[in-house]
Amino acid sequence: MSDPGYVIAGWSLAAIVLGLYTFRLARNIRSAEHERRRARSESDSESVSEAESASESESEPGSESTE
Amino acid sequence: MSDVREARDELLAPVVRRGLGVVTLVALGALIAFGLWGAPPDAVQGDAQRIMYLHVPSAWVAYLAFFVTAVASALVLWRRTRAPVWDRVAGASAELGVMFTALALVFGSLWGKPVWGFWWAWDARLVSTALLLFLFVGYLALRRIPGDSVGAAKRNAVAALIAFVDVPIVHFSVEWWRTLHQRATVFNPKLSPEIHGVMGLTLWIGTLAFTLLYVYLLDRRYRLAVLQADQADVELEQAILDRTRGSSAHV
Repeated sequence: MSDPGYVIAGWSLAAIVLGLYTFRLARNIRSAEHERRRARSESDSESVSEAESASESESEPGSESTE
Repeated sequence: MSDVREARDELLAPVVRRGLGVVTLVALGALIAFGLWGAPPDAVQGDAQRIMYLHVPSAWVAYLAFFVTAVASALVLWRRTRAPVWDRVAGASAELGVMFTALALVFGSLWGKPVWGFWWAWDARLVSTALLLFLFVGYLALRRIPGDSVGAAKRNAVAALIAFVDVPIVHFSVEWWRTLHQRATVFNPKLSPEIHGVMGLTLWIGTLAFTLLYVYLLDRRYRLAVLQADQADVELEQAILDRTRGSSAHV
């Protein structure tokens, strides 16, 4: 092969750049999806606990008569 | 964007995306096989010609990516089609266009050294391509400047359309000016490819493989943009909630 250095450099560069970009994209998507699931489950549990505390305060005897 | 609600979480259906990923891998494998072994060395350029199987598809995908950015930007500016999906498509495609333009320049340089005898020339095609790279790097920088969603999307769209003006200049530079860079081999004014046989086939395989890769990466980059926008919304809501709780505690 004539000029093997340039050919090898070009093809290696293509593999490294495209491979690395694809890999980093996949990793960032996975991490962002994980973060979204975590945020959703946190907000769900917060709203559940808020609803529970609201229903508890409503069911407490005499809670309305104090006002 | 207030007037049109978010419509799409992903561009491609999961089954289509998985199929596209497999086909892209097969096409890239075929490109490696033909580009490094199947295609014969060029009679004049020798094996340095093998870099062309990367350079030409990269340049083609850069054109395609910037074209998609321009179309999506026009859709953002048109009130009836304005939606976050187009702004995100424009941004995702521009990022890929920048990557493929940079690759096309580097591959061209790696080919130019053994064939022309130098890495770079102040040639109309090379300079206009470098300018294209800088214009869209500037566009990506502009996208990072915060602002209200509609205003920022409109500003980005105008910038993308201005930057896109350089694409036809890059393509026709070899026809309009006397350049060191050869004229278009495939997408020439006669639309008659001047490369044939296994070498022509390899170039087509490369173009197909890179186009498929572009579509796959566009879908993934769009998905990441949606997730990042969601994350930003969640953080904003949390900040507002924290501030509200803080102020009510003081009262």
